Amino acid sequence: MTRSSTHHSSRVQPLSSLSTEHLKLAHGARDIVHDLTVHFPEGKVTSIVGPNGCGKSTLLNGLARIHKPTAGDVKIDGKDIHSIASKKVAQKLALLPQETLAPDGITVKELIRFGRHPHQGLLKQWGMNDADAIKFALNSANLSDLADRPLDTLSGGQRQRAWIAMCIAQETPLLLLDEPTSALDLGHQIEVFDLIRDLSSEGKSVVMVVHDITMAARYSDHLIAMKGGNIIATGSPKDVITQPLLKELYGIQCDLFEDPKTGTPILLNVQRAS
Amino acid sequence: MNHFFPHYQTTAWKIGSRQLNVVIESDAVIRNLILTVLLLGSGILSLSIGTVYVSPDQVIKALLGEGDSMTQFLINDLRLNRILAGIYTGAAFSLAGCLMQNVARNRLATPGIIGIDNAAMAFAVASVVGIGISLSPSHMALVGAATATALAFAIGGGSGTRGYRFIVAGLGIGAVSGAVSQLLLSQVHIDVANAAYPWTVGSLSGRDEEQVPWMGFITLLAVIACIILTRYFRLLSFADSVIITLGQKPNQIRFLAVVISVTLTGFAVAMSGPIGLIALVGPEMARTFAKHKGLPLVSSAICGAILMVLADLVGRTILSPIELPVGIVTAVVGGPYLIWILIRKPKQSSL
Amino acid sequence: MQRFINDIFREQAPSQRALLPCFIVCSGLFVLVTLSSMLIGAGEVGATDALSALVGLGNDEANFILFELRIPRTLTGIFVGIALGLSGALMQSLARNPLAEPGLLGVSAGASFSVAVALIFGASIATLTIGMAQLGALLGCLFVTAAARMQGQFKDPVRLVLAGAALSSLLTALTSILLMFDERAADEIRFWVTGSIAGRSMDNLLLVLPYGLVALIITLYVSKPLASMALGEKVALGLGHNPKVIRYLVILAVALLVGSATAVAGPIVFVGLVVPFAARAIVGADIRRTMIICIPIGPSLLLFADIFTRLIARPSEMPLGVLTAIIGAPILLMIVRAKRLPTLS
Repeated sequence: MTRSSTHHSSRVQPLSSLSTEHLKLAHGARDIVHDLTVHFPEGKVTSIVGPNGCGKSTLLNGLARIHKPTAGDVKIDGKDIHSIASKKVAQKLALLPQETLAPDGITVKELIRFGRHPHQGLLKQWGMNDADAIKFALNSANLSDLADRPLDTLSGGQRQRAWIAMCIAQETPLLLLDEPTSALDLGHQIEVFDLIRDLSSEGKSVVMVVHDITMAARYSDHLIAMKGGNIIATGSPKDVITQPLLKELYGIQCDLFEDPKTGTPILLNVQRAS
Repeated sequence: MNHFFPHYQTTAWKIGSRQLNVVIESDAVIRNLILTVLLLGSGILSLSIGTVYVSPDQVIKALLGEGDSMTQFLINDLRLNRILAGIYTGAAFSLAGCLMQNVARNRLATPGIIGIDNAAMAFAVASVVGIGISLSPSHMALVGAATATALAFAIGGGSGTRGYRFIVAGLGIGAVSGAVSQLLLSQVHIDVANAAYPWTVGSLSGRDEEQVPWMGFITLLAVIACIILTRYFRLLSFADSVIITLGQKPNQIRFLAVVISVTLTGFAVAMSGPIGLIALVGPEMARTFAKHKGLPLVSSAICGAILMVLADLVGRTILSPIELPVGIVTAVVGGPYLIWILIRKPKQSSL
Repeated sequence: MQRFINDIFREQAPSQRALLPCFIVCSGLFVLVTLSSMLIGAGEVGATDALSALVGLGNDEANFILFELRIPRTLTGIFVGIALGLSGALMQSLARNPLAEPGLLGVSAGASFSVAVALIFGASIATLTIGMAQLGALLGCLFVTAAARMQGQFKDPVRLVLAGAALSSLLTALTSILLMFDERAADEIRFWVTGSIAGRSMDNLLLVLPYGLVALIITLYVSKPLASMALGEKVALGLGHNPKVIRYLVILAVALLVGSATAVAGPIVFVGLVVPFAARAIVGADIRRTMIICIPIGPSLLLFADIFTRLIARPSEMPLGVLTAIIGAPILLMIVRAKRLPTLS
């Protein structure tokens, strides 16, 4: 990718740490996430994997303060996220939700401009930083040529990059992504994952929910495997992805190989565990 | 800024050590200026046409306090109040509609259609048919709108996602209010029922003149509030999770929008009766002018005012000397438009 | 009997309950309410007088009240209750939307509008051409389903209801315009639009009865394919039904039912919402089971509300339409506030 060569300047934010302490999340009376204590490594890409309904999206929403915990805390730099003003949190943490809705006819650059919202106010509607941040986000996501295109005329991959660019413009040290590649074809998936890697190499901590375990292994530094609202394994992809774990998570058995290029695990001969 | 957003201007002031920055959309400013000119034009046209024709230049002279005293009296004392009432209520209905549509992300969700008008009407009718309440119909309409809103919030338990709970509660309350109005009308002599009739269709004739400046004040206040708050109201077209991520509270923004919307509707119904279609057509016109970009709140208000003034003009003149209530004109003109909204194939749009 | 009651109150999913005991209990309720409707009134004739008249021992006044007023009223109520209940169940099943209700979707407003047109052209309420109300109901029905389908709004209950509310508000405005030019019509219609089953003659009921029967036959015919359409039109197509034909038949049946009911009683809102809602709570969402239970529940609810209108403001009466609106509004909200809108499968 030639993208990094087009960067005018790197806009590195200081690292922030994200962790949970005895976090409990529930939908009504149903507990989704039980007593979770976890730390997400700074400056790394962390993927949360697990079967459908294991609570990974709920956890992500909990981390982004969209889902209020029934007990326990989410902490940014050691402080409870719900004790900090929402706007301050928005300067530290950005989320790309799974389902997005945009205003009619909005252009890419207008969308990205919304990412500056947390840095602006009624009496400070535009600062020098804003223009730079938007320019940087457009370049990072390789969208400079599409800046004036309406969002609804873009392809799925381009649209997803535009949403990520909005998060980039938010200039947060923490970035959460909920299945950022779910509705995309393989080419667009790679495009988005490459972008995520670039962001991480610039110093952002990324936490994402990913369905495809091979992709998660390939593009993450750190994996968190969840089942039934509990974490059952954490660590580097190589350490986490083992045959017993895959059986426990998905009820499958398979052969595991090492990708000759990246050294990450590859699943072959996948079948239902007997 | 200019490099990236050529149609925005940033205006900066320095107050003490603090730098204040305000973004002004030059597109919107130009659009609203043009619309204002159109509004002034319709107003002057409407002032000049009546039982006695007064030429537009005479009208302008009279408005400026020049010309002969007879014309001045005719224009400033007899006709102006009605036109102002039309401008204020039209702006109020339309702005209220635009806000509510934005909250619900549905262009059919106007205060009138979800039943706030109905409740205000039921209370006004109750006052006309005389069920032992000494408040005037217009005050009762205001009380009705407030009651309906409070009930809708109480029953719905807040505005809910996309304002849906509020809307459904409103629909229920609207249905009950409609039934109550019918009940009241069926219980009294036909002459009394006829006296209540203008309150059921909406009309600008014979309104309390002292209310007009108040209406203007409220509308102006709401327009200013909307200019300031557009920044937040625009966020409502995103999913709640995005709004929270950007550091704002979606429920608070929605509540604010709904409260401004129903307050405007309440005051407008108190002045002119229910003229719900303005709330539907005005914002639509504004969005067309704005090329479906952004949230054209101010343009909606001006478009609503233009529509109301013109509809009232048509109502006064088309079957002269019979005067058609303005509500009927808007129903006949806006009806086909409403049907079009209902059956047109939607493009992938959030509204 | 004990077993039946146990069956009903046993903790089990509504869709698992045996249909027959539920039906018998609901029918028992229906018989009870029907009897009460004949015996209780706003006027002088008390329950004992009415009872003796019913068994052939009454005085002239009681006989008159019973046979000329209360029995026609009760029969009208039974007809209207069944018609509105069934039409609600049909519409909700077709739209797969628990809020689809003739009153809310503008079908009743369509019927009212046509009645106003008929009045303007010289008809009077007493000799009202039944066809007009049915035509209006049909048009309203077609329009709102077309609108909803075109916008793909069936899936979003609130959007569909908003479309209906918009249509209703438009038709109401148009009705007002028509009436402005005709004071006699305005005078007549203001009583009619409150919706009531009081003082309706048997003649009107007999006039609409054939339409009701036709609608019932259509309903029986479509009930099975409609149940498979609940799984999606493609599934229904795969099972060998023709969804398009079924859809138009359902619309026709709804129009006939709502048109007839509106013609005899005026617009009565929310019955079509509440009755299927109650029926689903008793026997689950299967459309065939729902409709069977709607048949006793519809008239029971309508007559119960009607009896209430006679008692609440004695010696005068409150219009039925107002009361059903007051009963229905909270139910509407309850349906929406339920955590998940019940999907009608």
